[in-house]
Amino acid sequence: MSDQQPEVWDRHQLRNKINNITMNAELVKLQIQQAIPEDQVIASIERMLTECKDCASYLNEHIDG
Amino acid sequence: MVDDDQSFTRSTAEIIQLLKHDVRVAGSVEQANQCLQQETFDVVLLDIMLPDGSGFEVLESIYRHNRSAHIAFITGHLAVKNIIRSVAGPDVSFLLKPIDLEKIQALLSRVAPQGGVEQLGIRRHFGVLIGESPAMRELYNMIDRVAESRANVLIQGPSGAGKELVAKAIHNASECDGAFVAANCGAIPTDLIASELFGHEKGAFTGAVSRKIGLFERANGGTLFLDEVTEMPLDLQPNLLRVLETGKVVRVGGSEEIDVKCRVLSATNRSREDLASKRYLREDIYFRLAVFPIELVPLQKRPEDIPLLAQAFVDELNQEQGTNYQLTEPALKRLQQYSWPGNVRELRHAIQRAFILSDFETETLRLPDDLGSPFSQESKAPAMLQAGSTIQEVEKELILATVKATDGDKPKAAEMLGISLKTLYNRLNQYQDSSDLSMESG
Repeated sequence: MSDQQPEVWDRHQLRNKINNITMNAELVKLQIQQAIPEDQVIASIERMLTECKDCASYLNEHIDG
Repeated sequence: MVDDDQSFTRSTAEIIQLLKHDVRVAGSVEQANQCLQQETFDVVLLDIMLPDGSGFEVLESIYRHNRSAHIAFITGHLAVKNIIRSVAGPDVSFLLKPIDLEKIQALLSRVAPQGGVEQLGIRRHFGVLIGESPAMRELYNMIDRVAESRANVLIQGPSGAGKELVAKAIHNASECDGAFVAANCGAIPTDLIASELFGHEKGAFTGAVSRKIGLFERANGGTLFLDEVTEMPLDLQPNLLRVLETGKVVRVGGSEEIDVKCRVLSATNRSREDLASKRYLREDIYFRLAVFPIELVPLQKRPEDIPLLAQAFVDELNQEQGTNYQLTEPALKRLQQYSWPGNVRELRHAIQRAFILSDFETETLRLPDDLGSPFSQESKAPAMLQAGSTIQEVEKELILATVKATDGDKPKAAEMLGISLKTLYNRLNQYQDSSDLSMESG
C-alpha cells in the first residue's frame, strides 16, 4: 500500500460508477440489436468491466476492509 | 451533452448516435459555450457540477444563442429539482441516475432523429407511444398532467391496445428515481399473490427458504404496474387496499412495517360498467386505484394512426432482420380499412406475418390474405362497411369472405351471395388479375 491517502468515494461517485455500468449495458444491448461490429461491442463490455472492477476495489478497501 | 465524466459521455453519446441523432460532447463550461456559439441544438443534456464552473453558467449561453433548445439536467437526486427550477425555469426536465435507454428515448422523442424513421415523422411520445390522432394527443395531455402528480392511475382499454406502454409512458414522464416494476395479476397463482406483492420472510411458509422482496418494495420510489388487476380474487383485495391506504407493507411471515412510496398503475380490459355490475373490483379499492382513470381508444377509432404504427413495426423488423421491405400504398390502404379488433398487437402480428410471407428480392411487403387473428374473426363484418371504402372494395371483401366461409365451395358461395356461379368466377379472376398487377408494379 502506498503512503497516499486512499481515495474515498462519496455517494455521488458511487452512483456515477453504477450509472456508467448501466449506460454501457444499454449500449451493448443496442449494439447487438443493430449488429454493430464485434470489436465495438467488446470495447463497451471492457468499459463496463473496468467500472465493475473499480466498484469491487472500493468495496474491498472501504466496506469489507 | 455537457458532462465531465468521460466514461458516461462516451457510452451515452454512442447510444444517442445509435438512436440516429447527432451529438456533441463538452466536458467543461468553456467547451459548452464554444459549441453553443458554433451550432444550434434541439436538446442539451447538462451536468450541474463542471470542472470550471456550474451548469447554470452554460444556461446563459443557451438562452443567448439557442433559446429553443430543451434543457435536461443530469442529476443523481431529485432533491435538487426545485432549486434548479427556481434558477432555470419550469420548462426543464431531469435525467435521473441511473439513466437507462428508456429515459434517453423519452427525452429524444422531443426531436426527430437524423435519417430513417424521421422522414415519415414517426415520433415516440414519452419514448414509447406512437400516434398523432386527436385521441392520442388527448392521451399525451392526460399523461403529462398525471405525471406531475403521484396519483394512482387505472388504465382501461381493450386487449392489445397498449395498456402497459401507457403505464411505461406515465413512468417515463414522471420524474421518479425508482424502477418500473410490472406484474400480471392474472398470471400469479392465488396462493402466491400476497408473497409476490408484499414479499415474505424466510420460513414464512413451506418452501420459503429465503427472504423475498415483494413487488411493492422493488418499486419503491418508482412505479408498480399491476396488469389485469381485476383478475385478483376479491378476498385478496383488502390486503392490497391496506397498502394503498397506509403506504406500508408487511412481508408475509414478518411483523415489521416497511414504508413504500410508489405510484400504482393498474390496468384492465373489463369495461367500466362490468367493473361495478360484475364485481371485478371492490368499490373501496377502485377509488384507491382509479384516482385518475384513463380509457384507451381502440385502434379502429383512430385509423389515421395505422400507417404510423405499421411503418414503425416495418422499420423495427427491417432493422432486426437486416431487410429493406417497404409498404406500398395499396397495402397501407388495406391496413387502414381493416377493423383491428385485436388492436395494435394484432397489427404488429399481421406485419410480422407479412415479413415471413414476403419475397426478399422484391422488397415489397406482401400482407397476409387474412389480416385477422383467430381471436378476432367475429369482428370482421364492420370492416367492410368502413366509411371511405368504394363499392368495389366492399363487394370484393364480401365475396372473398363468403368463399372463405364456405371453405372454397364456389357454387355454395354463389348461392349465398345471390349471384351466378359465372359471375363469381369472373369476379375472382378479376381480383387475381389486379393482385398480380399490383405485385408486378410494386
